[in-house]
Amino acid sequence: MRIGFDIGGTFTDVIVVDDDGRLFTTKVLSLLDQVGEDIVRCVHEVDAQAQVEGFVHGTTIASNAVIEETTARTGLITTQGFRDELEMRGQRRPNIYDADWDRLPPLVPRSLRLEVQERILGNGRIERALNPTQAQAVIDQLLADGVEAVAVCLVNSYLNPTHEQQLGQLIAEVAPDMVVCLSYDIHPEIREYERTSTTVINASLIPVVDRYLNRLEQHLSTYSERVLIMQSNGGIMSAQAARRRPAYMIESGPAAGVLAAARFAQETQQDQVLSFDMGGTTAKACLIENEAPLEKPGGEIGGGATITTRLFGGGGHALRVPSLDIVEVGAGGGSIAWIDDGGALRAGPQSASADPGPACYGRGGTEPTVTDANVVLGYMNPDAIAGATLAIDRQAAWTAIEQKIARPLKVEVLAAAYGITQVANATMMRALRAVSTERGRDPRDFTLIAFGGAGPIHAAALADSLSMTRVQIPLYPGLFSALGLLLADYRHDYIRSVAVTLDQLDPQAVLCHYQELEAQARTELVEEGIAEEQIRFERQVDLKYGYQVAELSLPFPDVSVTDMQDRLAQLFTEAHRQAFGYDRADTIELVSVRLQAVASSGHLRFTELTGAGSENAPAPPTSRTAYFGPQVGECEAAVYQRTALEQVRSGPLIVEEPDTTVVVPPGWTVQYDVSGNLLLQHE
Amino acid sequence: MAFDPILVEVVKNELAAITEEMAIAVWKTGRSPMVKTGDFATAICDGQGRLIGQGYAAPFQLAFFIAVMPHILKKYGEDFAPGDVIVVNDPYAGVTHMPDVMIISPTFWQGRRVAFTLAYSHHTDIGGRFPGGFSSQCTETFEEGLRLPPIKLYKAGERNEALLETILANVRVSDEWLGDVEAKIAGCWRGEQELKRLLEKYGLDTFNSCCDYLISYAEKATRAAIKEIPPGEYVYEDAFEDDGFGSDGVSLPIKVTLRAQGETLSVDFTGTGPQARGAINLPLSMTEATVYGAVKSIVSPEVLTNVGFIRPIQVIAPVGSLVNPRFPAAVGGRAPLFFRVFDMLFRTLAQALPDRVPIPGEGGDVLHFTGEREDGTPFAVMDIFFGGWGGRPRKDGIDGVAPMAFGSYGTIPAEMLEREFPLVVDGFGYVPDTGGAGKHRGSVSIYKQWRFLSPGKVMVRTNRLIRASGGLAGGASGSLSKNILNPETENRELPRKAHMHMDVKPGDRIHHIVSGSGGHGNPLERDPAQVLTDVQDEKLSVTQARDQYGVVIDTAAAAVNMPETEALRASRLQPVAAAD
Repeated sequence: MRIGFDIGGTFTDVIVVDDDGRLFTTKVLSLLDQVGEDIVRCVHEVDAQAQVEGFVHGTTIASNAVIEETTARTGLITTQGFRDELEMRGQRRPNIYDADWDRLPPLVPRSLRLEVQERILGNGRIERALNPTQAQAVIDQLLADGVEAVAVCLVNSYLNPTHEQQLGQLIAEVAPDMVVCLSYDIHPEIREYERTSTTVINASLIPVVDRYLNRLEQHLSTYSERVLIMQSNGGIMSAQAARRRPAYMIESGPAAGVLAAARFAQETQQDQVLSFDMGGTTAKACLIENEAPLEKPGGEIGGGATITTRLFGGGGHALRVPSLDIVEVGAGGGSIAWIDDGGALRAGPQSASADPGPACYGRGGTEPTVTDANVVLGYMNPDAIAGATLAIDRQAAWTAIEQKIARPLKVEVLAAAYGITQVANATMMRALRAVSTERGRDPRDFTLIAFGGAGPIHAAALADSLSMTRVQIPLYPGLFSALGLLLADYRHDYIRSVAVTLDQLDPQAVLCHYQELEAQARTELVEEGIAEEQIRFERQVDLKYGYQVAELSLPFPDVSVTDMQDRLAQLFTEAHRQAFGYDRADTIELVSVRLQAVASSGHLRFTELTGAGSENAPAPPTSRTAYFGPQVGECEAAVYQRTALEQVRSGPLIVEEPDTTVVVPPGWTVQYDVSGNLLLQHE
Repeated sequence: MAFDPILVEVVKNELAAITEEMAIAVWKTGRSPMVKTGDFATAICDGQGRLIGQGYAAPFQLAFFIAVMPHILKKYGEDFAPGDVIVVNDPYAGVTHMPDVMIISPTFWQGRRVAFTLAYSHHTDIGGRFPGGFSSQCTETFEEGLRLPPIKLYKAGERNEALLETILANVRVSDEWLGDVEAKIAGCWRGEQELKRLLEKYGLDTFNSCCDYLISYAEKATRAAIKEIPPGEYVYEDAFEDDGFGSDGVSLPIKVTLRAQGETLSVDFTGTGPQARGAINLPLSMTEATVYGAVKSIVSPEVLTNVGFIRPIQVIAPVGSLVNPRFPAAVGGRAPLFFRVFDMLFRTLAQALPDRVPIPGEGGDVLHFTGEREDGTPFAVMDIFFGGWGGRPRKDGIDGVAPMAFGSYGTIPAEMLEREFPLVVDGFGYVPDTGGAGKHRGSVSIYKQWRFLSPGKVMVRTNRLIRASGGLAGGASGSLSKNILNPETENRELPRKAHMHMDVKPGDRIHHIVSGSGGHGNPLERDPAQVLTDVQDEKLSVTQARDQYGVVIDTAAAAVNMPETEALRASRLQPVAAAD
């Protein structure tokens, strides 16, 4: 039995697959203190004697900590003269004309960014040795200031880690338990700001993630010691690895959903798909072409999507970690609706999260949320959701919207509720556009795969706005991300800086780098319980012309030592010509070697899954009143269960499922296919 | 074509994505530091030469392509062929100074000219008397470097080797020069491929109607935005303190009259002084670019960047003045005056829209360093960096970021400078007690210190050495910029010249300070908690907290002493200027 659980801002989705491919699902509120207990309880309900092979976990703990500024109190040690680079972020800003822009505060305040006397030059040579006395004073000051973690990033250390390692030792001598991250270990790549930022993110997350995993494992160990974590790159790693490299799990939750959508597209043979995942706090979109999600070698966290992000950035904290190219916006079911200074209706980015949650959950929330609007509009069941496990208080939702929105705006409650959904949709459109039209893709060529607890409610309306005519709601849409967890392979990415021109390249040394990285990967993966023969390596090499700013990443060729220089030169020249239309007789530099280590987790196939209890006859349809905007007004919408939709039916119609609600607006049809997915089509 | 809002939206974003792809190609393949920081831009014009989309980093780049296209069309008429690549850097043909070299290439589809792809970037050298080609100490454009009128570097795919050889013989770092040109051609080539893909998908008629629509849409949106400016005449006068040679006591008058007339706007420079002898003058194309960039920043940030945007805006710049000099006036060092005019335009607009207009901020200072490496190969490096934003009507400026004139420019990482060039960055960061005080304070100064490892020629471009960035609405000025030679030994302040030249020897250090930016609103109204934060961040001293803001900090308790603060503030009337 394998168990996946995906902790979102509001709900935790649990998915259990037994050895026969039978699927059990459940959804609990995300109360971080008791997630472990809740999971154990869920497993117990399925099979108290279960032999659990392992848990796979997707979590927003890392990204939330960065975004909500609840990372550990962290100190930064840097070279004399460089303490402000973390805050200045290359002096860039994300938007040319936004005079109202606010810079995100750095993760380490100025008073905890301290400088040491040392200098390594741009050729890796030590010009000034580290002053140990002064370094000790800096370390003592940070300890006195009560830091929980220390990031160390010195100028040019990507070429020579000596001083960083010395600082690591000095810290270990006085504070052996202190969390210390050296930039050479985390991300040995040129560009001091990006490397510092990545190191700081990693260091400041370690205590947070460690505490979190300790608490979790305490409970889960009842069933299995094996806890695996989803990474931003769509692969999984062990909890132990996550404790060392939490920066790799920043987009853990979103990645799982995208991976599931990519597998879904693969199994249903769809080349052009947009994944749309709307949870309680945020909505995420990703472009999936030819069955593969778009990837990026790094990016920013906390900055929002802008046109310059791909080129220059400056909006968020730089994070040089490979990840799926997901665009996320602050709109979800729990997003709080409010009226801004100018009197305009807004939704999010503040979220009611799980506690107190939307007003309709009756847990003390009084702020109106998008979910409250969906309840008032009749889209969501007015009595109970989540398979009747969560009672809904429609009156509380109504009151919250009436008091906070309708009265101040002097409109009817239904109009106010509809307005809230429209405003949230406009925000979510930005994410969908960012991954389609803004990348030169016509969304009309794509199918929208919508999931997440709130995604299927909004999907058709969003598709309408983009003139998309096909929406698919997969089986278990509310638990789709959790399902993705069980589909992922193990994956680790490694990089080592080489920074040598091809004419001076020592081919043997390059092979040595790969062999060392492979040995490291093998050790880590075997530690994670992978059989050595299952590990596949993909070697990549980053090359550029001497003075270029960016490199091309190419698969490393299988060549003999004597042919390596010529072959690399030839490959790079061809790739450069292909990408940019020209090549030149010029010095080529080998910037870095990269290694991707992948091992299959023996993943499942959608078609092999069977829902427990799905053979029961569906309950007969009912109906309720729902509001579809001023033009349609209120009308009676039939309420079905998914399995009752073997024929094409027209909206307005609502499909109620244990984990979500699907809204089929007027003008759309819906049908259930053999695999259990719903296809919504515009008439 | 029946209006299809979705299609227009898709084409609009496809064009933006294409110009961005072009920019990425230039950036990835470019050779010089200026390309790496963002001093380049890419654009697409339609078959008629109308700018329809631009991928770029700074507001002032907005009009570069608009200004150059008429010169190209005038010269070549219909004489374009697939594979043509035109090169131009002539300040009297729409380019704003000679280091900016522009590449223009026609795109053909099904045998017809359907578009142009364009890219410009700032080269680290263009020959001439001073390395870099942007010193203000030239008096005629002939001194400034190699002037290229619009000329075909490639004719139908065939490179003009004689032309190229001539150019390369006239620039100091020929390899890098060619590398940057190739990068721009790569950008244009990329744009051409993507445009052809777009045309395959939608056809020429749809493409052209979308262009028409987008241009008129931008014009309409701009008109609507201008209407929000209360009609009237707004005048702002300032003076520029450097004639290009850093002579003593210079004060060159600049006058801006902004007339808001419903849906149109005119910006009139009548009353501005005659063109200077040194190369600080703004060629007309740069003056227009400055106006368009400043107006767009405040009035219509969301409006599409295409030729429609500029239609409702008229620029009046008297011939023979600082902002529209007569040929062959030198213009290479136009940047400091550009920053000043951009700042003036914001202050003019602030009279009309006091709640919306910030102080745009300072910086854009440059180190230019040329010489030979140990192995005898020549090098030229430009390092550009910034101060930060001035105070805003509702919030503080931002410390250490590209000012509003620069948009998304960045600085080049020290590690990249040190890997490629014989210099070391000793430090780069904040200078406390330098921000213009205000209810919403301006950015503090930024220092950068270089150490030179090879002998060479240095030029430092510095803004605000003599006239500080003033406050707005009762805010105080920021501190001045300065340059210090070898602060740890001789500690000598260098001459206060906008473009300061000197020779350096190995081991020499220059410590440069970019000015602080002006504050907005009365500093005595600043929230004491914000003053405390600045003190804790070591951006403000306890003394200055008291003197500038009337806030008494109890250092032992790390808190504001409220009773003393209130008493002190009550006794004060006027803000004090920032310490220099």
